[in-house]
Amino acid sequence: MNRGSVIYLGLVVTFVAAWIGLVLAPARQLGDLPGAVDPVTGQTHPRRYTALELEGRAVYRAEGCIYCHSQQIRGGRFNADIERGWGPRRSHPIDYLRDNPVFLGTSRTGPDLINIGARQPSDSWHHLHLYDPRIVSPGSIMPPFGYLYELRPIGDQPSPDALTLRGGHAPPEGMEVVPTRRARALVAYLLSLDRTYDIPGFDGGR
Amino acid sequence: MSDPTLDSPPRSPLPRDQSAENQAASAQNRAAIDRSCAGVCLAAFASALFWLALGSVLAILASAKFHLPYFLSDWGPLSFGRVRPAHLNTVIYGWSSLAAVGVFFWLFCRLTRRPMPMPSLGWATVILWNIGVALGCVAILGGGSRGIEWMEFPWWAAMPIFMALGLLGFWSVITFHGRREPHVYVSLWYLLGAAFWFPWLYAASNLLLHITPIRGVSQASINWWYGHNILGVWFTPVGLAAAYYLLPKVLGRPIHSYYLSILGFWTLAFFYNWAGAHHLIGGPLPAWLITLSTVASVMMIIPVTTVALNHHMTMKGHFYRLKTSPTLRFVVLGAMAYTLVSLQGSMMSIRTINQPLHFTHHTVGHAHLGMYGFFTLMMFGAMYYIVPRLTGRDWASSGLISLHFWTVILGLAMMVTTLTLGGIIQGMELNHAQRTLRSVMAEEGLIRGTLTFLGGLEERSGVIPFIEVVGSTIPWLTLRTVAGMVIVVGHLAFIALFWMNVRGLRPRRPGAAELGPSGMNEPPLGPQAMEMHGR
Amino acid sequence: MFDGTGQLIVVKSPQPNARPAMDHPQPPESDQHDVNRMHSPIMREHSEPADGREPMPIWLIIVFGAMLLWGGWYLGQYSGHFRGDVLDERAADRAAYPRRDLDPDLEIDPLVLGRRVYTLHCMSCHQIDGMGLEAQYPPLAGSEWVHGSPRTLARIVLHGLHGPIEVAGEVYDDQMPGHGDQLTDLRIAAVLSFIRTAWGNDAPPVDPRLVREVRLEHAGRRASWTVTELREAEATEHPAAEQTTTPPAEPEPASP
Repeated sequence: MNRGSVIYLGLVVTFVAAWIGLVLAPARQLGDLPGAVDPVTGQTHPRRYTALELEGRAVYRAEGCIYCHSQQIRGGRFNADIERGWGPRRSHPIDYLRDNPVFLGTSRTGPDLINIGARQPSDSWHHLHLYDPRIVSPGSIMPPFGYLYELRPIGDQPSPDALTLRGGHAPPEGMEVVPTRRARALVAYLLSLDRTYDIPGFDGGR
Repeated sequence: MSDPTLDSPPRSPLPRDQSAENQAASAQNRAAIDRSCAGVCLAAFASALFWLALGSVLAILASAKFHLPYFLSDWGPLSFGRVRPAHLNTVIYGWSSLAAVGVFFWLFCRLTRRPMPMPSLGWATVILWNIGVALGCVAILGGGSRGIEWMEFPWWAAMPIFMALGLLGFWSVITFHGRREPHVYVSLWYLLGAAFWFPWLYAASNLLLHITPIRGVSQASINWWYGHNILGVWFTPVGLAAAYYLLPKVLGRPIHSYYLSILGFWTLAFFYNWAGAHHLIGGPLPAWLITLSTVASVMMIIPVTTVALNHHMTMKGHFYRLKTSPTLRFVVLGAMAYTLVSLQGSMMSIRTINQPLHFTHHTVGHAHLGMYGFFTLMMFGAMYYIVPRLTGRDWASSGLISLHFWTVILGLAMMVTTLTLGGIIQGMELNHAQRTLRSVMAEEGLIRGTLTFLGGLEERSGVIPFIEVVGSTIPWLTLRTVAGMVIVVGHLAFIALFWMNVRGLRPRRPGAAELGPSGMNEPPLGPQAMEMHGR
Repeated sequence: MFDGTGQLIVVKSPQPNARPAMDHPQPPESDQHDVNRMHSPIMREHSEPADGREPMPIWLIIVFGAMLLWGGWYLGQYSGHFRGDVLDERAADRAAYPRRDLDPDLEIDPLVLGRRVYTLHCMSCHQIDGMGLEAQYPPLAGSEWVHGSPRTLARIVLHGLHGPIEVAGEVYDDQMPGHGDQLTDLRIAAVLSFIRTAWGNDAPPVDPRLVREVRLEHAGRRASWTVTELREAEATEHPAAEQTTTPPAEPEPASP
């Protein structure tokens, strides 16, 4: 192996082969998937994100939620995901058609979030949970996102979206805690995470 | 130990170097080479150590936030979700990659027997690389992360790094073609591979994920193709090149077998590229893709065993040198960690074993065994060898070297053990929704409960809440923070050593700093001892 | 081993005034001057590395051959015919996974289905033990509402609830979202049956047809209920339609 040309050729061939196999082939196979059409309502899943939800997606990305939360229900022999109630079926490539980037995640320090909008559809719960997770989820180790909320004096009357904080979390007299636009966007995105629809022709890994 | 195959020796430099004149000439040549790349390499090492220090601080912060969720949580840039990717990127692209760049330039010049051509290209590589890491780090802490693991840098931070990589590749090809040694030693194959593959991988992945992102879950397959292959085509080749160079160099023996070297290199080139999708086992991707990566990952046993055998046979009978040579200690432990982490990785890619380990802290332990146990130790070893040749000064304190070694080894062992054990328990709880280790122990006692838990087959009713699983990880995560702090002490010791060396502090007594019984407290060394240590 | 290196290794005889020369014999005097100018670390060095020529062990080749065979077998076994739509590696034959035309929920024990629905949709507020969260979310265990009218429960799950509500002597004031759009009648009935029997609760199960009736009764309603509205709706009902014998006006005492 003293000839540069032999080494170069080997390096190129081995790398191109893997690139074709692991990048090109799946991209071609999955690139033109259609959405899942509901046979009853005719609606196509997954639906398009709204502008606010997309903003929330950017917050999810910037605040690094992916480092503790996955967004995938495993199938096959991995039944605990479904048993835990994280979703009714395993995740399918169709579920991610509108996601860019895709937040599959690699860690479950926290629970899976692919269906969090269906599991917890209350926006007031999410705001409390983001403001301080231990208000609604004792024992959690999730960091509080107080910096997404604003502590401000109550105006003429309390804001409709002020957080209902009790006990030690209550703001000082005459003040209220309201979500910033980033917090509202994040909650809108979390509420949009609902991939519980059926995919025609897919058995759901049950 | 005579070898009949020596009748037709390879074009090896060694026999020609035997005469005293050649010896002196080659020593002069080496000195000229080291002088030519000293500036670039020292700049790369110094900036790498800066990022190592910053990465260590970020690591402790991120680790502490697992068990102290309110710790420094009021300010966005210090929140866990930003500090953690900032840690990863500073240690990967800052510390590890810049150390790799320094080792790369030095090794490449030494192996081609050529004083560094076009040092300005080298300077540009180091400077652009630092600019990229600095921009990317600020972007992540400021909330501009791309949200793709291992590729968090936005395109304007990735661009300088790509340019640096392009320059590195260009420089390598030019230097390789002007080489003054016709025999291409095994280390040089690996370096050429890294210089060729990594710019390509970096460009292709960034293009398909950031610039013109492709649709849907194929992104995840590219993400992990990149995330796995940055190890396979960048860190592993540079780390192995250093090991292949330093082991025979310090021992003064040839590498065991040229044939094993060839087998190890080409099987690595063939199989490593195909791994990656096994990070997505159970996920929403076609079965064939994941199966393919699993097979490639298991097949990695072939190059790993080959390299381990080659290194072990080279070391055989000379392990006593570990007592004294800092370089050898770090390099040999790094090579052992490489074997261990690679075999562990092959096992982890098998579906049945992956099931309980996926999504847990076990994976984090594995990553640290690889990037720290293998690569970082290898870089420490290489720097212990290279820096005195660049500055012309020996290390100032063998006590600090000892401190560095023992804290780093102890901390690493603690960290990997806690994360691995904690991760296995966490994973078995995650994947059996009905029980936790604590709940089974409460029912059946300590020992029987543990056995039942690990057996994991019995049916129970009811679902244990997820929060219990979170709770069971906390003691392990706390220990991990302690382990990290121990490691940081070692980093400070090494940074102090490097600083003293560059600033011109010499040891009180001339000669190489060495560890163990014949350390600095001993009377001055005779030539016999010097020969033994061979750094 | 190379005789060259062998020679190096055996240079061990003490040489009193020699410089520390590692990888070569004492250089001739003529070189002293040049060598002195060099860095001491470089002078200690051995020669650049060389390759040994030990042959490859035969057992290694056999083991690697066996591994390659295994790799080929594994790939063939779990490739899913290299199709993009086969996610489960064991589904090499698509016929092994027949498409179900019936609602698969029908095949599941309602209480098991109910527990699944509960963990998916209810648990994050009402908690795993049905005790809710103090001062935030009311308990279901021992709740007089859970033991009360199944139609009222169906209304709450279908459309949600807001405003103050007294449960087991405590007043809670938060919002519960409606789940009518996400859950089929079968699943709502299953989860109601589940909460009425779990954690020591003891009330009869709920029929999916009852949920269907309630859904049709309030077709088009989007707003969530208040306690007052629920009481009004209860008042207009025929007691005969109830499946439970407990009148809603007189809640059962909390079960232990």
